[in-house]
Amino acid sequence: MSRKSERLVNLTIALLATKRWLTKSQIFSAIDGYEGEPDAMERMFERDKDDLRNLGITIEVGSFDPLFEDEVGYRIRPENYRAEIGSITPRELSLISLATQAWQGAVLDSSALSALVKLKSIGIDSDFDSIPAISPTARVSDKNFAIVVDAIAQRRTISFSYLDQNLHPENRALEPFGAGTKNGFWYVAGRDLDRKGLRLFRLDRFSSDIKVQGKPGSYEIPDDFVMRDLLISPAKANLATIKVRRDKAHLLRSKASTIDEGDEWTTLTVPYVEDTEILADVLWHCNDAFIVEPQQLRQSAITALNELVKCHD
Amino acid sequence: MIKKSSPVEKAARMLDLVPYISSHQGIPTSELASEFGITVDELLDDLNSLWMCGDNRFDLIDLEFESGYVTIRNADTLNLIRSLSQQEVVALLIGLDLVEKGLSADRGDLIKDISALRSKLGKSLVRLVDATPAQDGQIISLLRESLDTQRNIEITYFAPTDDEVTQRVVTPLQISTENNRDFLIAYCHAASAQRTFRIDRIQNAIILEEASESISLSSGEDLRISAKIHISRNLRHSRELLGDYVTGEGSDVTVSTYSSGWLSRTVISSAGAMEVRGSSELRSHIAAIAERTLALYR
Repeated sequence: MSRKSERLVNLTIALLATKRWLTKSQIFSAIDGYEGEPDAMERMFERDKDDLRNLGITIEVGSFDPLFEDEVGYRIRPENYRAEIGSITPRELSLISLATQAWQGAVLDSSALSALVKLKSIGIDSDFDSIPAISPTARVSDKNFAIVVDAIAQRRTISFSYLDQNLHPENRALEPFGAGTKNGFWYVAGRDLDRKGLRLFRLDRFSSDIKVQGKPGSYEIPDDFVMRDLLISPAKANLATIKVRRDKAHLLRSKASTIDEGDEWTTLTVPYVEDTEILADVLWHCNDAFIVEPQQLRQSAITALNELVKCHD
Repeated sequence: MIKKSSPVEKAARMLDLVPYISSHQGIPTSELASEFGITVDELLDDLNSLWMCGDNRFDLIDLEFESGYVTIRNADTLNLIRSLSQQEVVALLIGLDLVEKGLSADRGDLIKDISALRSKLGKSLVRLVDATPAQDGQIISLLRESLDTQRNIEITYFAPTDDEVTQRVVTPLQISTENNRDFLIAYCHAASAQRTFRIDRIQNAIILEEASESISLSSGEDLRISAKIHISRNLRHSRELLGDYVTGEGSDVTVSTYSSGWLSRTVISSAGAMEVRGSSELRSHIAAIAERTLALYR
């Protein structure tokens, strides 16, 4: 168990230290832990290479003389291994610390911590006095989120089962482009392969674990894709006139663009996108609010209330 | 943290320990373990393994840690900070987004720092992630501070069910997380009782000078009411609105809640998609409210 990790570290050291290509036989003789039949050693070495690559370490493969079918050799170039971060100020490091604290107890906790450790290895001190006391929180425990992030990084297609509006699970295949969060919900966006277009999915509506399929680099993310554009609230092009009782309907008041206080009734202008959304907000306030305009929204409220009376009588 | 690391995770940590110790020579083992999010025992195990590594078997890494302080020598080859993985960069970018949006507008200096950090960390990933916090990071900080310093706090709280914004003095007892949302459990001096507040609905908080008397967390009485609900359309949306209080599959569900007010408002705002099938009291209550509301349209 610990032998394996020592072997991986020694392999990394050997491949980093060498100025020339190291052949497999050189590796096997120089590094402890490659033992047994030649086939077994080969398999061990192949697995080790995969493990290092999964850690993000680039192992180059080459040969001494490209003209001959020579035995291939391996090496890690320090410039590929090393982080290129440049300089970081104490205040920037404190901001990074704060950013990693957001992940405490959440799904990318260990990634955030290992990133912080790497940046602290530069050897500068934090300067927490220069930043205000805030506690950012990324509340996501869904392990599908980590899978999504890796799939985006590697440009690999994913498939999963997703609950539709009637809670029927549907199989979806997606080239994931981006991920993010808003209002406490977590999202993945990408090209839906069946529907042939850009779609946004909410992680809490997934009804299966994500399966990653296909080779890395199997698609490209369009240059004009920006996750923020998908999560931004759409422009509220519609306006409703709503009357609310004095000192009531705080939710509607907070959304209103104009508020005209009256004696018993206050008149609000409320911008909105979807009829169903504004209707639900108004109905929430029961007989403390009613719709004046537009007419067809007012009619929807009347229909809904009649239905409520009828089915509860 | 209880989870044992895989050999690959352990190897990654060993690689990262080298540059960290090199720039923090003489760091106490306990501090080093906590920086890496592991126990001291795990750290000692890592160091013992690392001590067996080196350029070749006659030229091993020179580690000293028996004194309780860690120093490293002869590790030049590995004294490189490993490049950040994409998952690490994404974690930082999302964290930085949440930090940035929690800052007040007058901290343009820090916002500039954050945008500089984004380009240093990974320009190509920046446009692929976006995060907006669900709650005010400064308020959580204040709540934590008042818990730590045991002082009362005055909060401005919006309760949609009561359609009220109230100010109250509370003694914080605990911050808890349920279904990815944070709640403050506190003793409310206005109600003389323990109350649970959704943190994203706390609009403002001020720590008071007075020390809080010691009040212990009580499990609370279970005063839940239960109702049978039939959902006739918008199944996913309706069930999401009813949230954690729902049991039962499909369109006939049981909802148990502390607040009948919340339940009747939820049913009415569903615009007919939900129907209460029981209790009959709740049914006639909803019919009466709907009737009164309808009167406004006549």
